[in-house]
Amino acid sequence: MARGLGRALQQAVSRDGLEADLDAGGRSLANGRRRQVFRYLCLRPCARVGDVGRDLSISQATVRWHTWDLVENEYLQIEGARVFPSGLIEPTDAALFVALASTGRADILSAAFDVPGISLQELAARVRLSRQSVSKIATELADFGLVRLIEDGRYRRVHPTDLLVRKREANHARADAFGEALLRRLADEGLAPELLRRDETALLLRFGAGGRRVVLEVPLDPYATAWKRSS
Amino acid sequence: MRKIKSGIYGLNPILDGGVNENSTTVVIGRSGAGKTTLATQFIRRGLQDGQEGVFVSLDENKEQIIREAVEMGWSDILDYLEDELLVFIDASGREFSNFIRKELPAFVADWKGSNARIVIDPLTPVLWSVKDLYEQRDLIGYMFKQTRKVGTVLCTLEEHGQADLAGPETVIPMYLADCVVHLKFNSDDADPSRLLKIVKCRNSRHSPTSHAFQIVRGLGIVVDGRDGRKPATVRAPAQFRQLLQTRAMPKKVRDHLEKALDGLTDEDFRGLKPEDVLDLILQEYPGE
Repeated sequence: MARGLGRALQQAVSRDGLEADLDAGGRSLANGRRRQVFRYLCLRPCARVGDVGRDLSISQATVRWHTWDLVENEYLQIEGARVFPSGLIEPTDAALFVALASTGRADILSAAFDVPGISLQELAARVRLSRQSVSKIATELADFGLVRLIEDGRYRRVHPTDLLVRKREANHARADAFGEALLRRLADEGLAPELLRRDETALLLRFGAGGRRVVLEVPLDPYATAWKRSS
Repeated sequence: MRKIKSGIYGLNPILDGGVNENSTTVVIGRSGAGKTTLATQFIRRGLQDGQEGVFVSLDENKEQIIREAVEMGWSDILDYLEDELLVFIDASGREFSNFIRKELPAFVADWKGSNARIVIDPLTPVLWSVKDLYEQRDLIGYMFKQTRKVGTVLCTLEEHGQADLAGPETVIPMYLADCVVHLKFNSDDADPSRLLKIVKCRNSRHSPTSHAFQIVRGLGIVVDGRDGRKPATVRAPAQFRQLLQTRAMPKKVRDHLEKALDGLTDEDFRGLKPEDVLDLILQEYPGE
């Protein structure tokens, strides 16, 4: 057996596969920053440019530049002013993802799941917004069917619905097809993709050109990840 | 399953000959219990046999561990480092978690079938990097499953609070590991005492009792490997075999039981009477 396992492990632990550029100009996902933007939009479709830039620590101009490249090369699809990965979500849900990406929506939805039946007053204290703002956002979420508002004497209480759970389950087949299409696309571009790991929530791919290969984790569960602040 | 020498004097006999190759062992103990010393002995023994060693330090820095090894009298560690047979990796728990999720599959694909000894000291920061218990179990289970493919793995685990091994930080790795060693260190008394117990070891007839151990300069951990067990006897399996000839049962059941008795000793029956065990088994096949 060849020597050098320790050194290879040392390099693998310190490597950030997302940032390295491949020597394969012209192919969208050969660019490290572009892969970061693509991965982020798989996690949170229709995210605002400002949020993408802030979370990835890159300028909004850079985010826009890479986003347009991904749209031109059909990795992303555009809907109004927002973009999402082509084939990963039901296109008619773009408005839903836009809402989830807007200020305060994700926090309020998370709070409703954490404390079902939470009052608007308690919710306002929890997410540090005014009661009026919380009331407006909760009504908007209710219009999408994400929560139900129930009058309880002098309180209005917010109860989560199972809409996202149903949409998430219904999206499994679409996400599978999205992963397959991505693998085919990378193969067609000569990036020789390898599937390293696959489960219901993500694909782990390795691909490259010119002797250099990178690893990319592609999140496949946007109905669960778009409104959660981890990852 | 092939056994490899642990490098810890006195431990091999109570582990039924040594550590199972390509297995994962978790060593649990409080601060000062001797976890890092044990891990260093384990990796050094492999280096002496020509195996590669990787020491992933998620807590103390490389220099401190090397200095303590040299103070222990193991200055050959420096030669192994020079030759890159031994590699130290400093990382945070979060960095190592990211590595497990994103880089480990590719690494294992490239190095599958290798025969290294890998130490992760301590595993605790990896657990702390993931809050959700389900994710913790998924991450640790995946890491154990993958790293076994490239070598024999030993992870240390910090023990906090009561030494009952019941907290989720210890339960999850204990459940998933192939072998669990508990180092008990009582530093409160005027006469400090150290005990080592094998909590579990898959595919091994390990010692069931606690064993005193000492840490000796130049030798490291030395375990009192006498386990007090009587020499193995086979009275119960022999009696069981006789019963198989006298009791009526389907041939396939008799053949299966004959085969199952191979290698069993009285210790495996743990006081169960052979006739009672056979009655219970035959209740599974009424009228056949």
